[in-house]
Amino acid sequence: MYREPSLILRYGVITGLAVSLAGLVINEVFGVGTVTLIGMFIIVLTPLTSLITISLKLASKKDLRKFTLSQITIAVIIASLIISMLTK
Amino acid sequence: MPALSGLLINACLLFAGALGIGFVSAIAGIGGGSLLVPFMVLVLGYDVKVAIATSLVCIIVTSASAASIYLGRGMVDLGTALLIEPSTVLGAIVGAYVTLTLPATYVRFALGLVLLYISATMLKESLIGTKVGETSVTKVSKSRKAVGVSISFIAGMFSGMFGIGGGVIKVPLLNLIMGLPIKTAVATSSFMVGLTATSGGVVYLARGLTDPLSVAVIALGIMPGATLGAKCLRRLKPRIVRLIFSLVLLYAATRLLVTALT
Repeated sequence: MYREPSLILRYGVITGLAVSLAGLVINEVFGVGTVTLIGMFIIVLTPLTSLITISLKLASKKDLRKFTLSQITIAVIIASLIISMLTK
Repeated sequence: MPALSGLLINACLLFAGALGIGFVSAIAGIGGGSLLVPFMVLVLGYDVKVAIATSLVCIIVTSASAASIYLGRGMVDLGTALLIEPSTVLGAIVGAYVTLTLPATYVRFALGLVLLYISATMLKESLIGTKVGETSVTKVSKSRKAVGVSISFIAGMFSGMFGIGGGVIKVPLLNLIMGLPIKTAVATSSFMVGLTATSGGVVYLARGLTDPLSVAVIALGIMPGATLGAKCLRRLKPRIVRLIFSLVLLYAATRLLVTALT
């Protein structure tokens, strides 16, 4: 039922970890830390991406209660992301 | 060159520690965060805030594989998870900001107290058994749901403050208060842990407190460690492992408290 969110969760963190490892090598050779940071953000944002997919599935199933609750959680996480970026 | 060899020794120690933590965590049935943070602080000398930030990202990596299996099999109770997750996420963000505001000594002291509580709970469970059962409540009242939402805020706050998954609070909460059967409670908690760690992790990541090299080394160590632990589960007695785990945690908590006070 939730095959896509499950796959995103599994392969999202693996991709993030692979990008981070590549980023660490790039940082060591070229002194550029952006790729590592992108890898970290891929890992951190994977559960959120999975939740967004779940939310879309709930919307397609017309499960309004669960859809609303998922939207609240997504909104809180995105708000925290924006606040963290603005107040660092 | 000495800096490089120091880095390599540190990475090897971190990998070995993560391997052991993954192994023990899989048998004890709890996340590795409660042992990972004290290990990084007390054994490897990491700053407590860097250890917490790094642990949160590692929690996402380790919880994702289990959560993906539970989600795919339809074992996660999304209705309950989505009901209490907004307050958990909010708690994690508040917790992360509290840690960032507090001096490191206070964070060490508070972490010591939380680990003392976790170790006491685990010690009690391994010595006299646990209240958590297979039975579930069919109808959960609104007041119980309100209690669940409030407690989940505290669970989230602990996660954001101390870099732990919070499963030690979430599983009994989902089982005893929200009325989920124990297996569903574990699966639902596993799904929630990743989302909670995301919201706390983002706050630390934006401030550059997360150590990417440590995340990579820990993740590479914890994953085979947990797989090995799961395979050895039949041969070892989980109760004995939980007893040892709780005693190690008790020692870590005491050392954290002593170092924070002196």
